[in-house]
Amino acid sequence: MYAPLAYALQLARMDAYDRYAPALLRKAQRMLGSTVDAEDVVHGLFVDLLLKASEDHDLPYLYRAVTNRCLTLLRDRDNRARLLARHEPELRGPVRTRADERVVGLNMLARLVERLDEAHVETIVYRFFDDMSLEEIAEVMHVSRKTVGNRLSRVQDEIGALEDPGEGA
Amino acid sequence: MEPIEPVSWLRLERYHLGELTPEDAALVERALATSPDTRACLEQIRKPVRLRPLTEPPNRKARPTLVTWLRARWPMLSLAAATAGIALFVWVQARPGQPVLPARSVRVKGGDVVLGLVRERAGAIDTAPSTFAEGDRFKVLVTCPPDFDGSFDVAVLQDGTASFPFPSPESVACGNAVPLRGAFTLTGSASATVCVTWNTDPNERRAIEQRGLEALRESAACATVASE
Repeated sequence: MYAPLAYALQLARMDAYDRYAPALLRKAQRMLGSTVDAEDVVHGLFVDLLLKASEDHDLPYLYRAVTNRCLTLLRDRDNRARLLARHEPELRGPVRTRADERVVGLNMLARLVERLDEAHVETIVYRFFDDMSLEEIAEVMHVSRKTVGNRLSRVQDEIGALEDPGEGA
Repeated sequence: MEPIEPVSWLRLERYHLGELTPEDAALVERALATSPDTRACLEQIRKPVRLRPLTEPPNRKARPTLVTWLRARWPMLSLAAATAGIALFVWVQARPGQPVLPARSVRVKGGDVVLGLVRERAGAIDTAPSTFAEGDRFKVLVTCPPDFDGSFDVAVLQDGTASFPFPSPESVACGNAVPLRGAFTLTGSASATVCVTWNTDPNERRAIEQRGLEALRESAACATVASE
């Protein structure tokens, strides 16, 4: 007759939407280069949060949640192609961190998603799209600064391989 | 000279929201004073953003890759809709000799207790559902007068049996469209009557199980949804 669910809808979460959604929207726009897809990601996140019996979450937590949802979108080949085709570069905002002077944009992120695991790609986003320091990344990802440094080192190698004209020829 | 680390977007957002400690805020302000790029970022943050209401459906039906991505695309109940008052579909059918189904709005001391039933289906929120199908999720909202001392329970009557989606009655601070904790689904092919009750009798559940609607009397507000 019925199936009680573990989720609790808390209308107070609507306050969290008003407060944090703009920041999360900007973040998703930077990653995806698409306002429409960014809206969907943020929208969907708050739907799920509101239906879960969980404690309130702060912006760093929500930032990570949006990152992972955007990356999920990017891992799908069709979505990737669509996003690249309709990319709005102005959504990227000022570029303040680079990988050896190279800008890590949507195109490069889309290629790296296929070559690196989730932890490395997530690190890329925090470093080159959100301009986080290694300490901040370590805090958000709950790992050591050393781990973040090692991951970024691997990322640099992969980016270098992408730029190599001989790669994959 | 070592390149200076930029202030991250997250830190700037938290600065804008007033969430940083005074020490961290001071560091941000120092960066703003010296870095045009950081100032440009903060300008972007300060621009007003028009948020899409959560009751609107997703922009597109992207091909889902994971179940969680499917779930992430469901729109949400709008606070505005909830606080503006929830319109309910109430189906009351009284036949001679049959107990009368309580209405969705019941007069109590100080005002009315009103049952709000909200359905979520594949991302769409219906604040006046009249039907249910497999997979639908329901949430109960209660509007009650401020001084009303209520401990609310939810009973579902279907096919001559009564059941209770939630483990125990819940005390709430009365107001407009106050959500009771938890959500539930409905199954089966018969119509289901969802009632919120506020009887203080500790044996109320047993009484409802044994006598159904008859046991509800004046301390319940109900709404019926038909199976699709």
